[in-house]
Amino acid sequence: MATIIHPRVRPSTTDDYRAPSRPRTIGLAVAGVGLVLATIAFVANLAATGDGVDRATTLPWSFGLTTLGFGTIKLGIGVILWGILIKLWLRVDAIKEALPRLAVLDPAQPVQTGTITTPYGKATVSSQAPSELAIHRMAKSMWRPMLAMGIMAVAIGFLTALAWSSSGSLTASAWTQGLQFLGEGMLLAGVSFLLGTILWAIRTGGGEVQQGLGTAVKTLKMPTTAKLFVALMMLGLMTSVAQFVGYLVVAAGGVNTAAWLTFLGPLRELGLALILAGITLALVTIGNVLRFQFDRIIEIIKTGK
Amino acid sequence: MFRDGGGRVQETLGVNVHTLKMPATAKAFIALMMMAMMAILIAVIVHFVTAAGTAGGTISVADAETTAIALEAVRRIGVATYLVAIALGLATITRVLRFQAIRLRELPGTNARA
Repeated sequence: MATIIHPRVRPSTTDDYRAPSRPRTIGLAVAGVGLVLATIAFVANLAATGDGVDRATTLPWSFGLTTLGFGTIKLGIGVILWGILIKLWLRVDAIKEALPRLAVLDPAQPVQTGTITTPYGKATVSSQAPSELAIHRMAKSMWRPMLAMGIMAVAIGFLTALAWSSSGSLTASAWTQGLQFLGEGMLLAGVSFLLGTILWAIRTGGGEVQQGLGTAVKTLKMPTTAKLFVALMMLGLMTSVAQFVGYLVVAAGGVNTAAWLTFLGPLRELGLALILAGITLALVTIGNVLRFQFDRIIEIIKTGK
Repeated sequence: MFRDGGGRVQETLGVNVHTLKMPATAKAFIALMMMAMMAILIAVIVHFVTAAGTAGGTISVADAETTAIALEAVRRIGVATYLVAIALGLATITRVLRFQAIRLRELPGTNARA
């Protein structure tokens, strides 16, 4: 229970590296629930095309249920990513145990510190593992609250969708759309922060392995893709907050509702698109860093330094 | 990338290269992603056809609205399927990482240099 409320970012000493990942199973189950919710909404929409169903009542709650389904699947993705984080650290522990017995090391060899150019970008060479960056600290502390707040906002938005369905009021409609897309933005931001935490784990783990071996610690400098990922994620989250504020203005009344709703629709989609573009760049960065690390392992095995 | 990198490390060590066969989650990920992409593309095409028909007067506005509601449903299930496919892809990565952690600990016992 404590693990669910305060999920750790590193495995405990009792975690078995051979055991299947529990977060993976839980995440897939949560994603399955989300798919079921989305399927129910799909059937409801198809039913709404018929003559016997009141569209004004059905379409609002099916909108809310679909977005709740999307949010639930994204929460499942977040849980699976947490499982990847734990398994990454278990893999780091395996490398720490195996590599000293696989490579012929020369701890007396002096380390030439500085900056080098690798096929994956510039890297720093030092004798100590690199300290974590501010962005890593932010990612590690923000992914949990973002995922939690995101799913809560989407769920509350579904409740307002039910109110919208029964009353047909503009206020309920505005609150539903604003809340649910704010929640979706927060969920994607939580996924982004988790990817940032994974990048921290790869960087820190790689540094710990090399320092433990007594070899030069080679660490990739933050690639451009990582910087763009952070920028896009922040911009997307701010856009999601802006669309929520916009819908609050519509709910409060006193503005040209048609005009505001016309631009708020694309704005909310733009917010999500920006965060998704950032996530794509984060995945590219992870791929680049992992390739660099595999090359480094091979270099240590071949040369011992 | 995990597959390629893991293979190269084992090859460097001169041991038998153990590679995980494609898990069921990876196959499901590819299949679901293709299905989702086709659903969304079909919805887009039908949208354009409906729009052209409405503009040309062959489809009434009421029928276009009904079609739009049905296509909205198809788009939503397509996006949901896409997201589930992504979850399955990530679940595959978890399994690969577990395999690599196990294999890494086996390597010193199979390497003549150890």
